[in-house]
This record gives sequence, structure tokens and C-alpha cells, in this order.
Amino acid sequence: MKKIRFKHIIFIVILLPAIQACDLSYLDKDIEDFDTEASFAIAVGNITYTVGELFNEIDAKSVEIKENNEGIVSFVYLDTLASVTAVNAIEIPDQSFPSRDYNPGIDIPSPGSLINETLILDQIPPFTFSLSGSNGEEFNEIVFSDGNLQLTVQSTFTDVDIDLTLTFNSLRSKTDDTSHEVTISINGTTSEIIDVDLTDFWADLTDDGNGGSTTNTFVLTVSGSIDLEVGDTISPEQKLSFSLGMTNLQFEAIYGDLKNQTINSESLTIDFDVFDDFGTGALLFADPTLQLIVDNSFGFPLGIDFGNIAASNASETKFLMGAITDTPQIINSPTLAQEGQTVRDFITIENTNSNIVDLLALKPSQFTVDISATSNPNSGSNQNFSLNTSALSAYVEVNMPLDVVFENIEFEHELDNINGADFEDLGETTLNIHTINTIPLGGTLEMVFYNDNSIVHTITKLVVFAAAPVDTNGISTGATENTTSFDIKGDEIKTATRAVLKLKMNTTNASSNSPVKLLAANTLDISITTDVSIEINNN
Amino acid sequence: MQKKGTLLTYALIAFTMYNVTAQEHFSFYQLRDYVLQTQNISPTYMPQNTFTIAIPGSNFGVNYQNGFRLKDLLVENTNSGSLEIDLKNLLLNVDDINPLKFNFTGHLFHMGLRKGKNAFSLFLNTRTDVNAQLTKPFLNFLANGNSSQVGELIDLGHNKFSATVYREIGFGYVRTFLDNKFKVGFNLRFLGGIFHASTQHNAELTLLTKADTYDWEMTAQNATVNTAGLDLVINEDNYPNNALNSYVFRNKNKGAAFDFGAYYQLSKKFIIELSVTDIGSITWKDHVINYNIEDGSGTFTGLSLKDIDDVEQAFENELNTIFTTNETQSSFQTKLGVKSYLSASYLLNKKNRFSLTGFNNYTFNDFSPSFALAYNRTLKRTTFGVTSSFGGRQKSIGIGGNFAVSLGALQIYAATDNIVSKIENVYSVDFRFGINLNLGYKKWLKMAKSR
Repeated sequence: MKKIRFKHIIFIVILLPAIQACDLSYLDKDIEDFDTEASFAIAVGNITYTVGELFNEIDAKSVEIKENNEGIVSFVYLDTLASVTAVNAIEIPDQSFPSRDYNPGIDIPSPGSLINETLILDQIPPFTFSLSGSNGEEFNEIVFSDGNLQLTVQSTFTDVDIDLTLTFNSLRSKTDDTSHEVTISINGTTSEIIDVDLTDFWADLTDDGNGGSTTNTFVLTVSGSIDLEVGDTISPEQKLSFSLGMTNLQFEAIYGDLKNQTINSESLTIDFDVFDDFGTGALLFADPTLQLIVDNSFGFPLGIDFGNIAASNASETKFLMGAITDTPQIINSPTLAQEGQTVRDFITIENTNSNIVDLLALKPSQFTVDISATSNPNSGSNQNFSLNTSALSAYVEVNMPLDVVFENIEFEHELDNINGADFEDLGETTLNIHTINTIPLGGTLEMVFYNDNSIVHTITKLVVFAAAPVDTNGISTGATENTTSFDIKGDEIKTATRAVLKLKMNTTNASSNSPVKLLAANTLDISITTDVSIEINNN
Repeated sequence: MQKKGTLLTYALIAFTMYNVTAQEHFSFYQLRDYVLQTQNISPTYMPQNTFTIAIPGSNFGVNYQNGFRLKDLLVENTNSGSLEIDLKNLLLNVDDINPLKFNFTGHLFHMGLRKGKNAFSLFLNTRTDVNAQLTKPFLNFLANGNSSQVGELIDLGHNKFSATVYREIGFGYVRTFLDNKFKVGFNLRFLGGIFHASTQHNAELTLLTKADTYDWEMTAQNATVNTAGLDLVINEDNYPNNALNSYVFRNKNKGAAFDFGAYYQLSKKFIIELSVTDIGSITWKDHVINYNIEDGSGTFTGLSLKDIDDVEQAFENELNTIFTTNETQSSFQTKLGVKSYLSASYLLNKKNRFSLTGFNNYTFNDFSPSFALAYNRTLKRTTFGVTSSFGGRQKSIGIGGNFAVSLGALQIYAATDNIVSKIENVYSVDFRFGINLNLGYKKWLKMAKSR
């Protein structure tokens, strides 16, 4: 029995390790992090661009993209040129009039009057004062918003007391329309000063003081009495003098013939960024317009001179020329019945009256506008007005319908802040771009990836969408399909810090300089698929 | 006669070296009546002694099978000497369907009692069963993406997965008839599910990449992953401190299983045996989460690239328009993987036994039987032998071995379906080991001798 047990022990000692003799040394080796690469074929997505959306995508500047009446997509640039208010445009200068004297011609020598009596002064003729404007204006009425009238009455009578009633016939109360009246008493050789705050008054300047009609005339009527007491003496040369002045005149409204007011806007530089992303290449708009929109609430017409409008790019400047610049362009005004309203006028600069096509062909970055306007450009008398709220506002709308020739126009866009590490897991990748294009505009793409200034990967020029065919009017007649594939090497762009995208565009028949019409109905359908190799790892 | 047996042994060994094998506890199966724990895979095995009790914590079994070898997946870098996970190399070495199986059985308690023509057993086991079935197109998709399968339907639905951890308390009974020539036995097991995750049995998920547009045409049906108990582990922080422990030892995931077997000695030389095990199921009710993709089909034609800010979010939104996902807490039932053994033995003499055993695992309703040729030397209280298994979805060569020896009342047994193999070369690993305390041999040995 003991023998058997011993055999069994030997048996176990030998067999058990044999049964478990699985060599696990393979698992002693280090196991590297999981890292593999798999290639996926997947539809990335699709997008349909209208012409407007396409240009918004590549050139999202301050230009608006609209559709005109013909269905043509237009670049529309709108800017405010200037705004001139009445306060800046028209001023009434301070008025200072020659002194007027009244000498009653009374002679009461020494020993003087023998009795006490009152001498009535009721035959004094009205005094008139002529206002003068800066430009020969003929004012009918001025409704003051501010200002001061000062009347100084100087007496040379030595012994008597004089009571005077001064009636400012032209100065009417805003509340009851009555003429302003002041009563003063003068004792001896003194002067009395009367100040009137004009804020509550308006001036009727059409009465000549004798019942006739005129302009710019301010009338003052004086009456009164002299109290003569026993012993008072009066010499014939003794008199009363009236000095009138007006200062700081501001108006709520003025009426009359305002003659030729010159309204100058400051010289304006408009940063025209529409073409900032248009690189090299030729551009021709067949039918652009530059429309000046003028809102006028002054009560007088204006003539605007367009002789000083210029477009410029980095190397060249061109001035606006043509019929539009030969004569001032008339801006109408509201009539007296339309007081407080604004009249809008449009002045259109187009290829029939100017060289606007040439100006836009410069792909200008700036427009310089120096507009000068003169009131009442036509001869003859005028019934004008101006309120203190009157203003002249001008806007410019540059309308560039894409009836156009693009010849190698290149849009360049830089993608900065690229983190190449984002592409670290990207292996060999093929992008397939399939397009169906009804826009008569084709594009080739070039993309260069940089590590600072060193090129790390280049996607060479590829036709990404081909221009659609057109009829004789330059209108698309169908669709052009195009498929382009290109490779992206993830191991090259993983060091990229920035990329520059260049899209070169040509319209159909660009080489023959024939414009095409890019219609709002035209579309570019883009479908992108990819065979992308992705590194999959446990990070 | 002895020479004849030796020749057959050599022939068997030679045969195993040139055949493809599969390991399904074939070697352990050959220990038969010698080892009490074989009752778990063949209920007709009757202990050779009156009373047996397993030494607690010393009995366990591990079985791992794969459709590919470790070195197919972990490739040695000849420069660095380290191992790299190489899915592309794996793809070169897989079949159209590749099973992945792992099984662990821990016998916590096992007791057997033989009385007359009857034998009884009582056992408590913990078991872990992981079964997966990976298709070549799926592995190709993982390894290479879909670029190489443009225009082809990638059927992801035939990839199956099931992992279950459970405990079982069982009772076994065997009775002999016809002077021990005929035996029948059964086990009745009460199951307590602990953790589970599985794809739904009839799940379908397909992907077709259209050749011209690279559109992804996708369909999903019954695409559900059922889980139980896993959230307690994954999102442990969301639960009270003792929730996991409490759940593991007491939950509502109950089930039952039944095993049966039959043994018949046709003649002095020939024996046939049949066993069917793991007929049963677990109903999972506790801490259940079902991750569902609602039935549907759709085509991913790419993103609408207009006004797109967040590509990942856009992609997710787009997929959500094709498939809707949700989580539910519906109870579900899982069947154990039914297993069957059918064996024919030739008794050269009392000490030499040759067997041909067939095995099938029906986990995924799969019928791909594997077979084993076995030789065992059968002594009084000791047996040892070799096996060679082949067939099924396995394709490695392995030589198995087994033994059960007694040191007095103490019995030590071990079995494997792979004796000598480097781990990187095997398609499977199989090992059983245990120590039992066997009492009351003499009575039964005398009876056997008298027969």
C-alpha cells in the first residue's frame, strides 16, 4: 500500500505540471498601446449654394447680396455719405442798425415854462431797420428759438420827464400774435436800455412801416409825452435817439428767399471692402449703378456737383466722368405746404452717363466723395423756408448686378490657428467632390498648408466646379457635372499651423470677355464623400 | 493484449498530432466515475466510493476557446520584441464565423453519497459563461473600416455576445439498473443570476455602403443589449455603499436548470453514454437595463453642411433621425447554453479504455459538434489518459491529458485538453483541477471485482 501511495505521489508530481505545462512566456512581453488604422468610406455631406450664398461664403463683406428685377444677383453696397442740418447750413448774423433820432424841435428858453403842461408826442414816424443775411437772403419771417434784441433810448432833454411807449411792430408774440410793446420814462439826459428775449417771438419782416410790403424790415413805432413844469426849458436841438441791435439769433423757422446757400459736406472716404477678397484677375460688371439717394427737408432745392468722386485701389485712382458730372444734379425740396416733410431724390450714375464701369473694374478699395450742394440752383425768386430740424442726408447705393465677367478672379482665404494635432489621427484621406452646377461660373481650388512659413502640404489646383453653359444672353442653359478627388496626407498636415485657400473663378466664355448673368435661380450642388484613413488608438 | 493497447495508444497520439482539435472538457469527461465533479457534465457518473466531499475552494475549471490564436491578434514586433495588437493580421487568420468562449466553474461545495443502486449529490457552484461569435465581415470592419467593403452588405447582426455570472445550487441523482449495465441520472439546479450582458438573440444590424455615393444604408431590428447588475459596477458611485454586495448575494434574478444523462453497456466491450446539461434559464428582473436601438432603417447620406457648427453633434443628430435609441428596464430571460455529450467507449480490457466522444454547445443555437478520441488507463482508484479533440469551429492541434489519483482518502485530479502548447499558438485553454475526500471504497471495489 505504501508503494502505491509513493507511486501516486510521483505520478502527481510528474503529471500535474505536465498537464499545466502551457508556456505563457509569450505574455511576458510588453504589449504596445493599441494603434491601428482603418479606412472608412462615408458621405461627408452635401450643400447647395445659390449664387448669393456662394458669394456670402467666400466674400462675406459689408456688401448685401440681393436679387434685382431681372432675377440677377447683385452686390449692393450701401453707405451714408453725409448729413447736414439747418443749424450747420444756415445762420442769421447778428444785426446792428444805425441809430435813429427823434427831434421834436421844441424851443422853450429861459426863464422856462410859465405853466405846468403836457406835450403829446404822437406824430413820430415809424422807425425801420433792415436786416441783412449772409448771402443776401430776403427774409419774410423768422421764428426765433433764441436771441436777444436790445433797444437803447438816449435822451438829451435836460429838464423834462418824458414817457414813451415803444411798439416793436415786427416782433409778434408766439402766443397771441400781438406786437411787443414797452413803456419807459426818461428823466433828464439819461439812456434807457430795453432787452427782449426773442425766444417767445417771431418776426414779421414784410411790413415797410407805411402799409407796404417788403422783406428784411423790422419796424419800431414810438409815442409818448413830455411833462413840462414851470421853469423847465427845452432847446430845439434836444432829441431822443434809438439804437437797435440783435444778437445770437437762432431760429425755429425762417421763410423767404434764401438765395444761394452753399452746403458742403466734408470730403468723405468710403472704405469699399467689397473686393477685399478678390485677388488678381480681371473683373467687369456690365451694368453697375451708383445711386445717390438724397433726403431733403430744407425748403429749398439744391444743385449737387458730382465732379469730385473718385475710386481708387492700391495703385490707381479714377475720377467719375461723363454727363453726370457736367451739370449740377437737382435735388428737389418740400414746398411750403409740405413743411416738415422730407423729399427724397435719386440720382443714378450708370454706364450711360458715366465711366462707373471703369471705376468698378479697378476693384476699388476706396471711394472718395467730395459733394458740394448749392441752394436755389435755378434763377428767379424763391419761396424758401428752413426749419431748425431741416436736414440734407445723402446715401450711396452701389448696385453691381452680377452681369459680369470673372477672368481668373482669385479669392484667397487664410485659415489661421490650425491645430495640426487635430489631424494626427488622420491617415491617407481622399476627398471626392461631386458638383452639379447651373451657375455659369467655374472654380479651381488650391490649398496650401503651412507650418509658419514652410509649406507642409499642398493640394494642387483642381477644378472643383465647372461653369455651366450659357445662351447668347449670358444666361445659364443647363448644368455641368464635375467630380474631383484629391488626397490629403494626415502625416504631413499634422504639423500645419495655418492654411491658405485659393479659389480661382472664371465665368463661362471669360476669355472672350462676354458677360454672363448669375441668376438667383442658379445653384451649385456639392456632395462630398471621403475615403478616410483614421488612426485608432487607445488615446 | 497489452501490446495491442500500447499500439493503439501510439496510434491515438499520432492521430492527435495531425488533426484539428477542439476542447470542451473532453479530458475531464474521461475521468468519469473516478471524480465526483464530472457529474456536472454527465449526470450518470456514479462515484466509486460511498461518500465524497470536495475540499472547499480547491475545485475549479477554466475553459477558454477562440476562433483565432493569441499570436494572430498579438503580433510580435521583430525589432522591439514587444507585442502589437494587429487587427489586420487577425483578419488573415479568422474564419467566416469565429467563436469566443470562456467558462469558469468554481465548485464551492460538492458532496456525493452512494447507497446501493443510487447515488446522490449536492453541490454549490459559481459559474461564469462568456460566449461570443464574431463574423469575419465585422472583424474586417473593425480592422479596415468599410472602404474595402463598399457595395457589400456588412451584416453586423450575426455577431453575438452573451456573458453571464451566476451561482447554482444543485441536487443530483443517479440510479443503476440491469446489474450496473444501465444508468440514468439527472441534476436539478437552482440558479441565481448575478451579472449579465447579451445581445438580443434575433438582433439584426446591417450596413451597406453604396458604391456611387458612399451613402450608408443601415437597418436595425431587435438591436438590444440586455444587461443586469452591470450598472452597479459601472456607475458604482450612483448607488449606496453596500448596494453591490447586497445585490450579489440577494437579488430577484432567479432561474432553474436541468441536466440528464444515460449510460448503457451494450456488451463487455462497448458502452454508449449520453448527457445533456444546462437545460434551463434565468429570468433577470433585478437591476436590469436594456439598451435599445428601435427597429428601423435609414440612409445616412452625409450631413447638411449648411450652417454647421459642431460636426460631432450634427453627426449624432443625423444618426438619431435614422435610429432612435432608448434605455428600458424590462425583465428578460436568458437560456443557459445547452451542452451535450455523446460518447462510445471500447473496453480493450479492464484497464484500457478507448472512447470517441462528441460534444456540442447550443449557446447560439449552433450545431457544430467537436469530437475527441480518448484513451484512459483505468486502475482501481486511479485513472490517467490522453485525448485528442477536433472538429467544431476549432482548428488547433492539442493533446489532452487527465489523471485522478488517490492518496488514501484524498483524491487529486486534473485534466486539460492541451498538454503541451505555447499560449500564443493555442485556440483554446482548458484546465480542471480539484481535491476530494473520498471515503468507502472497499465495498464498491469488491462489488466491481465480483462482477
